[in-house]
Amino acid sequence: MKLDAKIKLLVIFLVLAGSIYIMMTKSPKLGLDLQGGVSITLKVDIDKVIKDQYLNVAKDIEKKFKENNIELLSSKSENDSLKIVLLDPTKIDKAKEILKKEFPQLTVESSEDTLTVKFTDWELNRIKTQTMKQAVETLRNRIDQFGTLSANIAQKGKDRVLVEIPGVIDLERAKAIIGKTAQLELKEVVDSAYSKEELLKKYPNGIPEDLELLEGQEEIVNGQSVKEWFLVKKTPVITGAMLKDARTALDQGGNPAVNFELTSEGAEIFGEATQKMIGKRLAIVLDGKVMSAPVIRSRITSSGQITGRFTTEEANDLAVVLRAGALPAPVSIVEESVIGPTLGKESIDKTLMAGIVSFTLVGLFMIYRYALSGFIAVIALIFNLMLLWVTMLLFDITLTLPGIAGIILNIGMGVDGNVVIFERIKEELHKGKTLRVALEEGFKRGFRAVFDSHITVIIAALALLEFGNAPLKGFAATLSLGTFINLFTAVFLTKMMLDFTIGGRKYFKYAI
Amino acid sequence: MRNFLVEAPNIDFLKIRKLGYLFSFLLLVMSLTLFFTKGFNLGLDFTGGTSIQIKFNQPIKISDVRPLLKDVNLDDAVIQEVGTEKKEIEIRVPIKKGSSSTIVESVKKALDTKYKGQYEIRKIEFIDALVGSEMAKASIYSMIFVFIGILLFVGYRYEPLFAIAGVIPLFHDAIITLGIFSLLGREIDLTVIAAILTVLGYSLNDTIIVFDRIRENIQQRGKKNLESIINRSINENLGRTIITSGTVILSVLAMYFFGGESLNSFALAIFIGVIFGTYSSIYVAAPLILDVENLLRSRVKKEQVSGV
Repeated sequence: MKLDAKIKLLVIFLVLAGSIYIMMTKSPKLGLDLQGGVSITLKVDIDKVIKDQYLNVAKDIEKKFKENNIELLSSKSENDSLKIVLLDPTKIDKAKEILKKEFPQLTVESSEDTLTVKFTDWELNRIKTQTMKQAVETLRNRIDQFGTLSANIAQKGKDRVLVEIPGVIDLERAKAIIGKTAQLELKEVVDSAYSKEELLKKYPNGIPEDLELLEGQEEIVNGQSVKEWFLVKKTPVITGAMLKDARTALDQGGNPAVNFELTSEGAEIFGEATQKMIGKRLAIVLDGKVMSAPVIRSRITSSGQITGRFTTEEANDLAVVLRAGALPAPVSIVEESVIGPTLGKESIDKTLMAGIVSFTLVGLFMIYRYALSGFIAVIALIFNLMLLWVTMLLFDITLTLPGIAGIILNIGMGVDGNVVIFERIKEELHKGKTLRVALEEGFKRGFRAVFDSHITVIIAALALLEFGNAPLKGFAATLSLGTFINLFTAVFLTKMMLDFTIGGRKYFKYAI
Repeated sequence: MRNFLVEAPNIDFLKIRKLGYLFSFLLLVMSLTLFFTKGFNLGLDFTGGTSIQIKFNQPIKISDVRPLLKDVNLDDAVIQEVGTEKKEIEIRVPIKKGSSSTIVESVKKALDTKYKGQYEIRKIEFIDALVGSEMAKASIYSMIFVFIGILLFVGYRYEPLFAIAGVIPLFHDAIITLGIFSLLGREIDLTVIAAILTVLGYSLNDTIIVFDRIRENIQQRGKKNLESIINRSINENLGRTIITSGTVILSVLAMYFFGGESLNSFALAIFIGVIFGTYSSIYVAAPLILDVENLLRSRVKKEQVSGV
């Protein structure tokens, strides 16, 4: 044996040993379609965040203009811009100057008395990225507190978050926890009534711009179901961002409630505000709904209580989401799938069976048609499957049902390279060449075709990796990896094994 | 079989290529007609909606379940059998107001009236209409990506002529596969699209092996007698083409018969695609090289004539 051959043999042996070690020590990551579980895709309402940001910036602009004696006729935020109309058109140049100096994140266009202000692309991007990061973070916090390990939370595309929780869980509860915006706001109540009409009657010219109408919770009073409506100040006294902690507790009537505690900064603001509000009502608003509206009796600083008609579990979950923080924007479920564990187990069993049948059929055919070479091709195929498996283990690629389909397909496609080369060898032998020469010719000429044809499969697999849902990406992964590995196993490994077994023999009856 | 087709036969494929074109043309017209008359049975992935898969303890009849669903106002639900045991069904409710949870609750309520404790919900899927239309768009984009990718790759490795002749049959294969799915009324979901994309990549596999031989033979003999070179190349590769497709078909059949319900459509799509892919690489792709070449040459001649 030449030194070169010895090194090759050593490399193969090392790869084999390493692979076996990895296969024994690591287990594959199974997709939800194989192990059962819940997968939820949420869409984050980024448009709303941007609109809110325009509202915020409008306030700042107004303040800055006031400082410079520029009065506004109106300012209106639209979905993708802010329109500011000046009372005195002659001041427009000065206004522009201020905007340019104080608000570098904005671009300004002007006409006569109107300024159209937009966020720069950079700023829009920052808002979007920040929002998504915060959404993923918040969801992760919530699910961690929910007590489920091994959940997978990741951003998907521009405005989606994928939440995958393996195992059997209470779907409804999971959805409630995941989907709740949990925006807690404490707002000053200006007026209230037990019906919307009654409340609106007091404002024949429409409600003032700095107020908003909110709905309360349904209550049972004297056996009758009633609902209070509130007119509150738009700007909250305190938001959930200033929350330090939230815990379940019991209210005065012994019903489940949630106690919250504010950060020191929040406590200071809250203390000052409640001092001024003594005797007035404060609405505790959760996700745009008034949970309760107690009357402020004295200055409150650091803590408060949310009462409502909660069950213990609901109070618990509310505390969880409040602790984990609010989602930066409302979310909606756009995709959801729940797969029972028995179905997953069955899928594995069935596809395993299909794989074995496929392997047996293809293997028998190869040995029948190509004798010893066919047998070697089967060994190369085993190597291919093993390396594919090991690669998946090493890179933690999730195995999905379509992924297994990709592996099965790999069995059929994997021997393609061998078929092309072996047929070429047969052809050369048929022309009367010796075995050695035919082998060399076959591999030399066959490889080019094998390489080209494999690349096209990889192109298709790449397209699949780009689009498609999680399970399909699994298919693209096994198919492309398998095809790639195949370039080595079907050509180099096979060639080597053939060289070893046939050696320098010019003719060998069972070679091919 | 041991040495089947090792010796190249001598079939004049190019002489009968018009027949092949006609056959392909008819199939394409039929497929396109089906697209517009019968349409596709699009899966949840594209339409959106809620799908609930239920397994019962004993075989049941769909006709027994339907009235139960009517009682809970799910008249528009589609009920399909899953598998061959008659124990499993899929209930599909199109997108409408109300969340998937309320639909699942309604279905449970309906089934409990008759089958309480005798069934198990195996799978619930909900897809928003928005996501469905995004998926449809993404499917089309990815097909275009594959076409262009292959066009560029083949054009780079071979000649533009080969690239054009190689890509046209891919449209052919994809359209016919979709046509047969339309004809059979089989559901088209994301896995079927994945199968078609795979077939696009794979169908070219066969074609490229023939192209490679044509290239080799052109290098040896020059482009002078293109017709006989192409014919010879197809004949020399016939065994290879049939066997490589054959091993894939063995795998796909194993998947179809043993792989379970969820891989059924996937396996079928690959099966159809590989059959037509093999056919098209012999009868469409290789002959097209000759015809595209002739077309280009006659145009060059015309330009020369008009230039004088």
